[in-house]
Amino acid sequence: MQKVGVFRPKIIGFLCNWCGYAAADLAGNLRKTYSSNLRIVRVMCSGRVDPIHILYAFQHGADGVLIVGCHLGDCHYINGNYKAKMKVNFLKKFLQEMGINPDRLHIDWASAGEGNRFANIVDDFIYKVIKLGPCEIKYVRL
Amino acid sequence: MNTKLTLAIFPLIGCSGCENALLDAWRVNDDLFNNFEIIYSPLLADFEEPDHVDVGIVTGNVRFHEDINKLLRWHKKSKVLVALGSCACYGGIPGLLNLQNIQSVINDIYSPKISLDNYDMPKLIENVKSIAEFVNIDIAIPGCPPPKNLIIKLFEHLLKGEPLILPDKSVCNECPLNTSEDKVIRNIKRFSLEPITPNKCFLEEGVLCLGPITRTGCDARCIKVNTPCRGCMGYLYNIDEAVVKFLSSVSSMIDEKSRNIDIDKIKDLTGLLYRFTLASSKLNFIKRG
Repeated sequence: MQKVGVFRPKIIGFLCNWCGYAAADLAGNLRKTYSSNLRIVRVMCSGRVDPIHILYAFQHGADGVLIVGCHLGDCHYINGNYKAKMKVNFLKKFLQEMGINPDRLHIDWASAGEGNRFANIVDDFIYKVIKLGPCEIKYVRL
Repeated sequence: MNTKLTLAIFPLIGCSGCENALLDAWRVNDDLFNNFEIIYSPLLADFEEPDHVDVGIVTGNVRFHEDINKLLRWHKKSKVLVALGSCACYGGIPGLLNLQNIQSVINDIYSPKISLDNYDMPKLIENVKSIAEFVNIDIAIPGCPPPKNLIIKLFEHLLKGEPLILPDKSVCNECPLNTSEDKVIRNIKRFSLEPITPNKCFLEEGVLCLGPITRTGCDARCIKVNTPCRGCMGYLYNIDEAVVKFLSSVSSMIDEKSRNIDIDKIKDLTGLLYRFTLASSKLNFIKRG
């Protein structure tokens, strides 16, 4: 991944405790290599990720935000990932109007057994962000 | 012997609706307003600038560099500076210009031949800000236009010399519409283009109403005439926090099984959420140029 250029994006990943984080754990156990640009924040459910967390990440220099939760219908808390999906839909529209490329925000699903899938999600997303370049905004203090 | 308190109303960029609201309040409450005298107002009375005034009322927002000088000059002249209206408090509708590049605005209104560097008009400010970034405001009365009862309250407080504290409850507290126990959005509608059920909460109908985050004080006047709240009274918390929390709560209210949810129906989401407050938002990501 580092061959593409000198630009090394900062990616914040919000992983749900039951699926996303377990998948990241499994990817490690499987000795799967994926890009090290991802900074992982564990949350109890992807529905817990508030839009303010994502905006805060962008304001403080993140080039992309990745949310990984359970597959739709498999949420540990019944419908948290549907709420996360809707929040991301709204926020993508909001970000576009405020001047950030909405592709910098990505939500995806990986169950606890899908270590390989998780690694692919991360690599694909980071490749996409590298192609987009550094984030459009500068550091803003809220 | 003149014991009247002197007033100066100086307009910046605005629509002079706030002056009308002031006169409207003045008309119904003669006893109170007999204690005041307008000595400067280009729109209503005299435009000869006095040296000192007791109360300086600013309406409108800063748009040109001249406006900043005017604002600073009047800040020195007046003992108490009152910001009247949403434009003076939060930036108002002119603040929405922050979504555009200035050159494109000039191209649209005047001509593409005019560039920012060489024109004979007053110099425009690149980024619209609220006046609170330039001077300290003693009292802020939001509203577009400010509600009559708040203006009367303001003058009562000015007479007594007390600070005025705005209510810290949301518009939903005064809203007369009916709500159900489980607040669920089943489809998203555009206001005034699709039929809605009367006397039912706008959010449950799928119309984005900013009532939950907007400060009350207006007696829910828009909702009483069947229009969703637009947030002219300012938000209860930090502006950006309130907007993002509103987005968050609306997306949690949406029924995931419903197939009628189409977010693309909402045109200009930023203009809806920041209609009066974009200029004082700290989330100014907008790319210029």
